[in-house]
Amino acid sequence: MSKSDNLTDEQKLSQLMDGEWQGLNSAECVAGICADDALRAKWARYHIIRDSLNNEPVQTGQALVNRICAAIGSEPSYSNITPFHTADARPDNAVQALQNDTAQLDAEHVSAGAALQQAGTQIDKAQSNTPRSSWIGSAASGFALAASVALVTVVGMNLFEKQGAPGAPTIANVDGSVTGTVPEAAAFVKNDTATLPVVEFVANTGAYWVSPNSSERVVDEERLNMLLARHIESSPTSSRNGLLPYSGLVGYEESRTER
Amino acid sequence: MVVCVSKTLAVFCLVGAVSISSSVRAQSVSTDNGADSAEALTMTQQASRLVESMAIAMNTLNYEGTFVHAQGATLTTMHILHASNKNGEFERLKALDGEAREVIRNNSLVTCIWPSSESVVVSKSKQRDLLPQVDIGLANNERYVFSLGMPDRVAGRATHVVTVTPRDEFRYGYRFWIDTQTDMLLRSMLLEGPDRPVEQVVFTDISYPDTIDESLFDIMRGHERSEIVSWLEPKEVEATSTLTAVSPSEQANRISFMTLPDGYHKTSETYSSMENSDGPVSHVMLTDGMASVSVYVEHVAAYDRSAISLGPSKMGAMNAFGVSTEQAVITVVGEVPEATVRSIAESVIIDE
Repeated sequence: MSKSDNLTDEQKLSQLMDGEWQGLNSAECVAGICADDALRAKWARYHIIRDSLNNEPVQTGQALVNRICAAIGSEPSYSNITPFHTADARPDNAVQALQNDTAQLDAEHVSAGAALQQAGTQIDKAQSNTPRSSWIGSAASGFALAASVALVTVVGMNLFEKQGAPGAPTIANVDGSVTGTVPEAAAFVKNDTATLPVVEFVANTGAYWVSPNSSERVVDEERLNMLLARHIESSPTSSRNGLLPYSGLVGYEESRTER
Repeated sequence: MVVCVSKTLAVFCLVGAVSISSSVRAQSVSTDNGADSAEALTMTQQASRLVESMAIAMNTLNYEGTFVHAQGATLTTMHILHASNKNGEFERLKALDGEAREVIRNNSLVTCIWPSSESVVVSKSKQRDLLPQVDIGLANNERYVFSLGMPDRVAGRATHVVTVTPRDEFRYGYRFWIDTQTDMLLRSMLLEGPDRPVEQVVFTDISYPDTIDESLFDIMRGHERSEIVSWLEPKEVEATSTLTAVSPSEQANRISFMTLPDGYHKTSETYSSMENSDGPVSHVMLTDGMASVSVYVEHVAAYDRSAISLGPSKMGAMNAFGVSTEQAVITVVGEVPEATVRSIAESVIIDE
């Protein structure tokens, strides 16, 4: 009897997402997840959450999971739940589905999302020596950072679930700094089932001037912005750094700075 | 000089890290191999000249396009219209997401508009020929390694790919996708470490009109005159009347440094008043040829320490570091790593 036999499918999913492959029958786990709609949905959410917490390109997870499951379904050896024991082992069709994601980025009219998406895919390739980014990770081919903001509530809920289940491995373990700061910053609201943290942004530390030590917004944002404005207009190298000097200013949305 | 007439001050955005790697694996240029050194030198020269040409093209071409600006978790789509003619340089940059934030730049003013909140920031623009010149040829810049990557495509156009790799931790790296026909920048990454982008710009479409009607840069264009005239015009008039360009008489030499990070040198220093500051301000510009850092020394004997950030502050790729002395508040700001602004801030010497 393998170690994984004692775990629920949900626990197995958490371990898979955390790259903890040892002791798991990965093939059986994935097949089990694909057969359960609720777990498939959770798997998709975990992808979004993980990417959000890691500041990685955010994949709209359900489509990815559906593609993987469809590929697995059409893969004879995988459908027979042939065990594989290394992170490198992977169903060929699933891999092909992910490769197709990358290939379509070469379409002639490259959209912004696609261009960024392409880059996102490649960093995962660069990280392919790590368990977490082995085959699931390399599938992070979506880039919808705006969506990452919209999905923060989901992240917050899952962080809360982790708090409620100490010891249970979840995706929230991936980034200790975020799990440590979000609950502190969050206001809590009640609903019928649980107290959920309200999270405005997953990663808001880049949107405002913050102290890198505490991630708290500084007291003199207006002053620093004034100094920054003068700096940009006076910089002799503004065209060399390739960032279109005023794009940051236009990118700033005033409502986002409400404290 | 910048005059802020907004309900809420302009904030340059944004954001931290977007974990994205290069879409092109740069071909490293090795100068250690004797057999390849001549070729490497040529590649270095080609790469550095492409960056220099890119900087010129961004200022001198007519272009119109849509691009995405990514800073960490914030992604904004923008439209840019840029013209350069005998009357000078004009630019109109507008956010296509959310509130229609807009920046309009001409030879005299930079006007930033947030329509829904009636916020406007007007600053005096500086003519590029009055800016301190970067006197270091990039090919001879020993602080960076310039390399060419495999050709790529952006927005349907063929591009060169240039990677600029810093030799130490006091500067960011860059990767540029440069239009092979026009030398225009079509995509860029600001990199922390070898593969961690902290900021990106990606054009999704671009065109190069022969001429662009200057009326398209009229601030009133695209706004309902009735709604804009009540709050925009008075502020613009006020800004125009109170802002003056820095004159040679304001040039100063009050600030020096014990040590600077390798490669950084002073290109200018001014001494003038500044909005929201109780005393005169020395503004020193430092550069290493690719990146620039501003050093502000506010000469104030008494100030409210609780209202000023001392130590490090960060906004996306931008870092600041504040230090206080008995007679001044020193703030260093730049699109450089924290170690750089910290090192510079702690080296300031004020010559009264």
